Amino acid sequence: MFDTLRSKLTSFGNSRSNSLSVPVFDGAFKPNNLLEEADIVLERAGLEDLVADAQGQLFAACGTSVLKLASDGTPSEFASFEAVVTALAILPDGGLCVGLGDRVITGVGTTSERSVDQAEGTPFVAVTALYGQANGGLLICDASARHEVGDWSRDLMEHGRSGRLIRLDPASGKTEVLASGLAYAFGAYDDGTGGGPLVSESWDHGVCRVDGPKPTHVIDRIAGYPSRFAPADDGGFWLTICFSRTQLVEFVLKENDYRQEMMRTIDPRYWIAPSFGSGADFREPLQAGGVKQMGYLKPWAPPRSYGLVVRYGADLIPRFSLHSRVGGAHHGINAAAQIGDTLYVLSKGSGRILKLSVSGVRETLAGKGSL
Amino acid sequence: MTPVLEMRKITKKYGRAFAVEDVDFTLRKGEVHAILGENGAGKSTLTKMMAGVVQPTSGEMLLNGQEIHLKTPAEAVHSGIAMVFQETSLVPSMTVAQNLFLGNEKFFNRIRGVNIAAQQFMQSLSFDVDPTLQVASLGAAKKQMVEIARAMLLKAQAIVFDEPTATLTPEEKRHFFDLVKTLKSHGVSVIFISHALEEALEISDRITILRDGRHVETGDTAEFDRARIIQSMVGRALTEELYGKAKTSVRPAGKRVLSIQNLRVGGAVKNNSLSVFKGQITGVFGLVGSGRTETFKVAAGIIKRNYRNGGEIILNGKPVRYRVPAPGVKAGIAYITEDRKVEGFFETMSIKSNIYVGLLSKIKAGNFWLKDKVMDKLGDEWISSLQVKAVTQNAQVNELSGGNQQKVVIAKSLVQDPDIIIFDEPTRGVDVGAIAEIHDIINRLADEGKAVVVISSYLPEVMQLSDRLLVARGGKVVEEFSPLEATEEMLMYAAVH
Repeated sequence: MFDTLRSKLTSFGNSRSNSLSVPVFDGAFKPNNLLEEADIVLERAGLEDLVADAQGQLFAACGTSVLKLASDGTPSEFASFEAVVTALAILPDGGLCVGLGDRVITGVGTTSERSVDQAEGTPFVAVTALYGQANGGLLICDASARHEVGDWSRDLMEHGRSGRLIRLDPASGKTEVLASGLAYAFGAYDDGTGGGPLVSESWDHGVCRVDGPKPTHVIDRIAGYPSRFAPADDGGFWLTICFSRTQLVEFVLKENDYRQEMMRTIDPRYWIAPSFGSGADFREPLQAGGVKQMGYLKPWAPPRSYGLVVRYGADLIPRFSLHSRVGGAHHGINAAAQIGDTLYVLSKGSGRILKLSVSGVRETLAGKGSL
Repeated sequence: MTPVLEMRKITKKYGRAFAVEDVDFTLRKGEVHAILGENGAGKSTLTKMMAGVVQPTSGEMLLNGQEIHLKTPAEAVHSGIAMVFQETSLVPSMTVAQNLFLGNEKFFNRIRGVNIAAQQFMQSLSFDVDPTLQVASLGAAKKQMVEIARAMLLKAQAIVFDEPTATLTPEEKRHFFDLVKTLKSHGVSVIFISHALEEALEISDRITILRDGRHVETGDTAEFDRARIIQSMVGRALTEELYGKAKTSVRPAGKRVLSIQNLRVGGAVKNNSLSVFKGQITGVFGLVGSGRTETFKVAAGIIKRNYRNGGEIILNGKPVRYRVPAPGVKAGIAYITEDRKVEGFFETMSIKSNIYVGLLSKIKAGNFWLKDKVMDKLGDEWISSLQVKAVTQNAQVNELSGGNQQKVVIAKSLVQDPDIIIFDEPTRGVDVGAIAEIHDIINRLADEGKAVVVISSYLPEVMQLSDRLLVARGGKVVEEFSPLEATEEMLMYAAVH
């Protein structure tokens, strides 16, 4: 009762809280089937992150291993660990860094290998992304201080805001917390221009620039949940979007009593929450719903998963995007890497690494007038 | 065969100005005759003389070979000439049925009987209008239908339609064309005035072109094409300037300046979402009633969205909810109305006063005295910048042609230096020459980096102007196209199905 009363009081005079609205896929976000039609390089369960080194060698995090992919996509194990690899990065000196959930290892396979598990006295809990800066530093996204990487949906449902962006000096092992209180820090990027690194806040559907004591929002109201960045060849970057936003999930996020009971009583796999992939389990929610409109009962099944990568320019304006739509399979995109003209995209939902020609993508979109 | 109506050397002068000068015109029995010309060419004056609304200064008029002198519209109606006016002449406070039988009432008028007769008559024309509704509650298209039905009821030998399709949706236009064909088959002659040249080419048997009050040429429609008509109308080739060129490039999208998310406004707008970007023309196409105008009126603060679950309007990254237009104007949104005569300007005020009125909403509090010098300067600047054709800036707006009135309305908004300019049907009731100039203005604004929205029901216009095309249907945007890939068929399919 108090919850209802509080929500009524909050909504009084506050137009935003009266609305369940999500941004639309239009303009640069106009849907297409490019991701769905992309070539499949590798299909394997447990794929998590991608990174390319300066020589054009592609590495993929898959379960407890780091795979090295040949140009034809043939994988070979480069390194393996006792924990699941949750993030990858390459430093300018070529050193591979991996995140293992609650710790980060730099200089993998070298004599200078170092493990770091805390920053400024607070231990890492959910290392979701790493990024090697041009000045040799390593940016670490510790997404949540409460829930480990695999328990991300609980962090979302609890409106988690405990993420941190940390800078690690691999040589000295010294860490510095650049930003804290982030709504699930899921990706970091630094264009090297000195403007400060960018960090994606998934639960806030935006990207912040960390250029002072308080991060400033530079991209907001994304139509999905942003995850990792990948540098693009001609300035700008690729931003992967792991889920799309729906009014139903926004509604659940506002309904405290419902959400708490759902979290208390239902297996997280079947929550009304976004998902990296869907359609694999008959017990998933939202597969068969109905809505009565104009006296007719119509089928209604809001999507749980979606596939999306957005190309941003250096001016932070979206240029175009690649989609795997609701009926597709290549959903839950959470990593990308560009090598020359080839863009590799990791679809966690389908457990696949996809390959696209960037010039081909541009040509296709230009032909459709979407570029 | 004796023509139904013949005009010989007909002239109409207002003071020393010739509205129509030495025009010869013949209307054959059962033909559809289109009269074309720019605004101010004399089309309306010519047809008003036929309908007895104005009397010619000189010349003669013959009906079925007999000379007639029509002094009032009633005389014309009794002689068998009816006119459907460009602006509806219905009584808004009366019902559809009462309007239909206005002037033909019996001494004891049974309302039920009138309603039934009206219902039967409307059904015979395939017009879906409830005869018991008050005319004021009808949309423009339905009002036009009532207007047409009233002319039909008069059993005229000749019916003059002045811009009959300007407010009709494409489907309603098809109905209208069928109606004209039915009239023709019954031996009724139709005079058709329109700015839509394709319609004239499609529907008419003969075409007469006027320019500056003079007769330019008359011929069978088969002899004409669009380019020739325009050449005759304006005395120069405008086809290339307007819709002749296929679009080969579009402006890239800049920053997202306006985002409309899940907007709801009564029953008119349902869960509508769209974005508008800087440096681009976003075209919004849809049929009448698709919720386009209401959506953008909410954005500009002219109407309010639903309070609960009404969605969000995000302007430059910040949610906004305007209750009146003034804060919208201050925030940089300009909405240029589709109904300029009612919402666009003060018709008895001068051009410069109207333009200055636009600026008042941006003037800071305390600085509200009208300044004649500023007003004069603004008047001069905008009259020359938008090439408003007027004798002086002191001319009243109602003295101007439709195109020049539209330019004044545009100037009134542009003087506010907006960031987002929403043009709602910018060239409705505007002649071909002025259309090209208004298109130039719209393109110039986008080139200057402004976010421009063009709402239009005219497909060639929206396809030619837009860098991005949104199609609205049933209260929301249902498709986005690039003008490089879109065809008229694709847009119409999305708008209808």
